[in-house]
Amino acid sequence: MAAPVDRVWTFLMDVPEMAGCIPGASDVRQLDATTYEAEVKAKIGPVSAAFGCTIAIVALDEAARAGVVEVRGKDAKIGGGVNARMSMELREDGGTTTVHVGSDIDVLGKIGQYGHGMIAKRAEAMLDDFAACVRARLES
Amino acid sequence: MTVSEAPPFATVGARGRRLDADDKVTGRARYAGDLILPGMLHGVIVRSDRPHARIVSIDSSAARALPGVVAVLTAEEAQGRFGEIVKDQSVFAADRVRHVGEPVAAVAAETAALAAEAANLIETDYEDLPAIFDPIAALAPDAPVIHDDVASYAGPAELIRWGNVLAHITLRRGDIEAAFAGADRIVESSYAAHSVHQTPMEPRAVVADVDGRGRVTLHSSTQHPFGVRYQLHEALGIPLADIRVVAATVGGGFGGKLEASLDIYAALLARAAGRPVRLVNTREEDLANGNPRHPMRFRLRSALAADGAILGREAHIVLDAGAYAIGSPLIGGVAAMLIPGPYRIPNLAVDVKVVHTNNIPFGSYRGPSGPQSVYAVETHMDEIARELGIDRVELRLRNAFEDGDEGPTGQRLGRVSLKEAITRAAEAIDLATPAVSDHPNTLRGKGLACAWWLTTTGSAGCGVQLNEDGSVVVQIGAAEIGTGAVMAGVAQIVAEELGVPLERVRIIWGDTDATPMDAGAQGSRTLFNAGRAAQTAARDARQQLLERAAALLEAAEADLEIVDGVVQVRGVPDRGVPYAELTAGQMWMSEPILGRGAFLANPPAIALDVIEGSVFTVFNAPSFHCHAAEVEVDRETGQTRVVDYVVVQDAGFAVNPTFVEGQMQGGAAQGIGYALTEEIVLDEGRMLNPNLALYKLPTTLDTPNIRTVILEYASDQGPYGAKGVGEPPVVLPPAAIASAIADAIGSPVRTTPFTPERVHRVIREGPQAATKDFPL
Amino acid sequence: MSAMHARDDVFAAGEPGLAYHAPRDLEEALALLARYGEEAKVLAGGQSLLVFLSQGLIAPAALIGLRRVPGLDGIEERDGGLTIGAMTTQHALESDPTLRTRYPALAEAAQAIATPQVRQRGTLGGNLCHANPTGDPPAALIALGASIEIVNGDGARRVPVQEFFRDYMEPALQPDELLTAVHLPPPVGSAYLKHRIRGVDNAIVGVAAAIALAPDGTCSEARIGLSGAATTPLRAVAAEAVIRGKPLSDDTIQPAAEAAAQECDPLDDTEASADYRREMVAVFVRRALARAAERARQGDTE
Ligand SMILES: Cc1cc2nc3c(=O)[nH]c(=O)nc-3n(C[C@H](O)[C@H](O)[C@H](O)COP(=O)(O)OP(=O)(O)OC[C@H]3O[C@@H](n4cnc5c(N)ncnc54)[C@H](O)[C@@H]3O)c2cc1C
Repeated sequence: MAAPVDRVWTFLMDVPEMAGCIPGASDVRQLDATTYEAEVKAKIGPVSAAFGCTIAIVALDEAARAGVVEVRGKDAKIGGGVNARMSMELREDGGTTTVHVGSDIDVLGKIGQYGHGMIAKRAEAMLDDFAACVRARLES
Repeated sequence: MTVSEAPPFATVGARGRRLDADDKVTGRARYAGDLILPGMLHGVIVRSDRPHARIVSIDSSAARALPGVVAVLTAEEAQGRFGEIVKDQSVFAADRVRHVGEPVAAVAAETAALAAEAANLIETDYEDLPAIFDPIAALAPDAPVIHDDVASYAGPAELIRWGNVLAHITLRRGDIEAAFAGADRIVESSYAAHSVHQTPMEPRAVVADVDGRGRVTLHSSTQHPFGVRYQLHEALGIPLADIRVVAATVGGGFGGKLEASLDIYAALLARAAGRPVRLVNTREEDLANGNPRHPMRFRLRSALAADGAILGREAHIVLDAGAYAIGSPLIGGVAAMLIPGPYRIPNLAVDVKVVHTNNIPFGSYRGPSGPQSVYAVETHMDEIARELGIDRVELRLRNAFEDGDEGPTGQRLGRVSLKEAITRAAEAIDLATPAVSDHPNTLRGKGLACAWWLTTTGSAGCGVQLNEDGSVVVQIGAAEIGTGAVMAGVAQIVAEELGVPLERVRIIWGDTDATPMDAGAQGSRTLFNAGRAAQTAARDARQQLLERAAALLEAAEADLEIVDGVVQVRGVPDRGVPYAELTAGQMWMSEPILGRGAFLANPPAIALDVIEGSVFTVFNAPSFHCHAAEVEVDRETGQTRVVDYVVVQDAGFAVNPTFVEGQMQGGAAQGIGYALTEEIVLDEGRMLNPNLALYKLPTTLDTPNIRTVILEYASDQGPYGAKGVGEPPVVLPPAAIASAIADAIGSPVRTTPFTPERVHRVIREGPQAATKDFPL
Repeated sequence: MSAMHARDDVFAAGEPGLAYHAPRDLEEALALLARYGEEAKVLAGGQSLLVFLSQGLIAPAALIGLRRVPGLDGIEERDGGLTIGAMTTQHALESDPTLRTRYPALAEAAQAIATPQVRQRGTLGGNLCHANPTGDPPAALIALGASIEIVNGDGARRVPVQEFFRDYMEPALQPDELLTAVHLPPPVGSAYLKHRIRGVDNAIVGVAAAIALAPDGTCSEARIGLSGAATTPLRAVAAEAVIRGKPLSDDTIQPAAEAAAQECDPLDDTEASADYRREMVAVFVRRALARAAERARQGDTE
């Protein structure tokens, strides 16, 4: 990412701002210092889910520019949910920043068993979209 | 081929029609899920979605507040511990969950939809703990520990346990070092075998009723009413006398309905609500939260003489128990007994480690540990044959058990049918003639596999009553789970002993209040034990009838015979009296005719010093088996089709050949499913394929015609010499099919199941190591 | 399961919160669709729709059944090709003599679907609108060069079949549109081959090939449809290019098979890995091309 590490870090830690780049996310509200609520919509084929999510920053290392975010979501209508854990680590190299993202996403319940191959692919695509969005915002 | 009683028989040995046949085929049979009781509520269990986590909090207030919700229960309301062998389970997780699907709460509501809605409102806050899913990794000294102290749980004194190991079983015979030192050849190989689900047609189901004093009656789809009653008592602290378990019609169990599962929650909810509660699994819940077959790993090493004699065998087995013990310590003991195979091996060093992981708990499935262990052992045998350049059949015949040999723990074997089974199976599939493919894309191969199996002991009781019209009512504690052991076998035995036609017999079974004790439909035991109790009870009733007839006819008992429900003086048909006449006055004039039968088998004696750490040490009434298969493998895709299949099985005595064949064919089909298509796919402890589109039971299109050959080498204690027949046929197919695939493609397949992708890989790349870094 | 075999009138009897309509003609059907928009689902054979309904994955306000709409059913010869109505059952496709001899890829694809029970009720249109990437008919129709007729209140349009599959289980249909028919151009040599785990399963991969031969025996036209090779049914354009205009032999078929494996992007799931699927695409493209070529040579398309 052609942006300095501090800028990227600030953006990513501003959850309402950052959530603007999560595909399908809306209605971000802060609950306390490290916890947020949001709604995330996702659609695969004819199935649309709306996950009421809590987003919690569970580990934060300002100095190392590293953090871990946990997302838990439930879809009341279909009966399913999502548990995700994403770790991020930022490294600067001459004005550009590399964001290392580790993600572990479990889709649960009925939604989960309906084509997990496709769900994995879609999750990957969402992550790519997220990255592209962040890049577009920060590089401009 | 001896039969212990004098043939010919009128009813046993014939293809009689089972008493429940009409109801089953017309759809009239009433299953637990069909019951609707007045005021009945619908229950649902709330389960962990984490494989290993600390429970920070459970907030059920929103669920409780939902109108129509009658009871919401969590660990606060049920604190007992229970478990089949080790008391490590609690009804609800209190502070820690150890697998995905562990119950954390239960809800009862006016409708199923409301119950589901309430369940969804229960918020559990978890803090994830490090989890482990590979049983070999769980053995590492620095692995996360799943139970803080496994040894602290109440359990049998025999168990040797530490860390994540809940049972370490060792079998030591002879001088293993000398055997390897003196070997001409040593063959070593390793195998991995997967988990499959019992998948009975009917998922788990129960309706719990409750009276004013809190006494519960469960109408349950269970294989083991008395076992369920005891587990409920243990888990919930309800006095035994305040629990009645009535088995409903059971739509199959295959081991999955031995443990109390839904029963506990239904009883608890019914008592809390003071109303009946129905709890029925969806297919998804049943598949994802069962206690399926154990994943196992094997490392086998055999010391061999040049002529093929097996001098010794060293084996390291790891059995993934999942998060809780259930029957796993015992099943590990069964595996230890299977490792030598049905072969004479004088020197043995077998180590079985039963290990906790954060996978779902694995448990009893028809022939527990059998398909996995026999697959490993028999594939190893084929690898030995290839290494030594000895024919596969020859190698087996050379080492096969014979009359007078000793089993691995020193039990004396008699009437061993193994060599006949091998010869008959090899002939049936024409193993001597190599399989040839008539298509350039396919390869063909033939194979066979041998095994021995057991007939489980445990008590059985039976009452036989005669009605005033001379008809018969049997009360028996055994469970009819679809095999016909009760509704055909027991019925035929009683009809035979009383000399009445089958149509005159009625049976009430599996009710902890109304029938005598029984140790459950497990371990191929029902006909052997319950049949024997029924035989004794029928003979007792018969004796009472003879005594009464002797007085009436003024004849000596010894001069009487029974023909079609008529007691008559031998050879003088007109001096006879029908049962109806002997029993007609029994309400006021004479005592009722009431036969009693109770049975507990005596297992064979063993040498106690050879096995350590095991609660399972002997194969009672063993039977011997050989299966043979022919397969066709697509050389470019790896797809395998079984084109011919033969089951040769020792039944001791086939009380009803139709149902013995039914067990042989159904078991083989289930084993073919294990071998080729079925697999519980777990990803970090979560099942990825919990539906019947993705969990692939074999269909008729995937199952060949299964040919059967019944051998009858009588047992000492079973009725008419019968032995258990239920489990063995599922045990051999993975091995027989592996043998045939290896014959077709020229390489062993060391990991199950033999999916197209896996076989394709072996065709392309040669034999694959089954397991890495296996600790010795 | 019983819901999956439910007859139309079961819905007429009324699921709570679910209206059922059985329009008597196309106009009425289209008007209903226009009225409900996204809130309605068209019900054809129900073999996919009712699975999603009974699992609670979708919750439409209304079902619009097409069984009473005349003119949507049947196989008809037209302009040297065929027109197949959307409501034609899969069983009708597999047993139709014209399809079996002149468009064997489609007959074979229909026959490869699930079980006789499913094929008795499942329709061609429903299968296409379900747009499952592992479905069988889509691959066959891609190979056969089919086009799809779509209508709404304003009129009709036609799209080439491969453009109909927008994304995973997402057909290129607006909520007010109906698929009414499939048009097949004049026949060429064709074949569909399916690789699956059990006899009733969806494809690990499925490949349909259609070949036309020039008088000199070179391949004048080639089309290849793939099932299980991506998140949609896929046309193997690169593979087709390898053989178009060339004589058909191992020397051309093998590179075409490899090109197909290159251009596909299969899913990884519990049935098979993406790598294995890719390899199988090559195997079955080779086999399907060989069989289609053989049929083209025998001329048993006429
Ligand atoms: C057990 C099982 C196994 C199967 N295996 C296979 C298989 O191996 N291969 C395979 O290809 N398929 C398979 N299928 C799917 C089967 O082919 C279905 O029949 C098909 O996908 C849907 O057809 P249908 O007529 O039943 O449509 P429906 O289920 O009624 O409808 C499916 C979808 O299409 C929409 N729709 C239907 N008709 C129209 C129309 N004319 N215009 C606009 N929208 C419409 C519906 O609204 C719905 O969204 C299987 C199905 C089952 C139940």
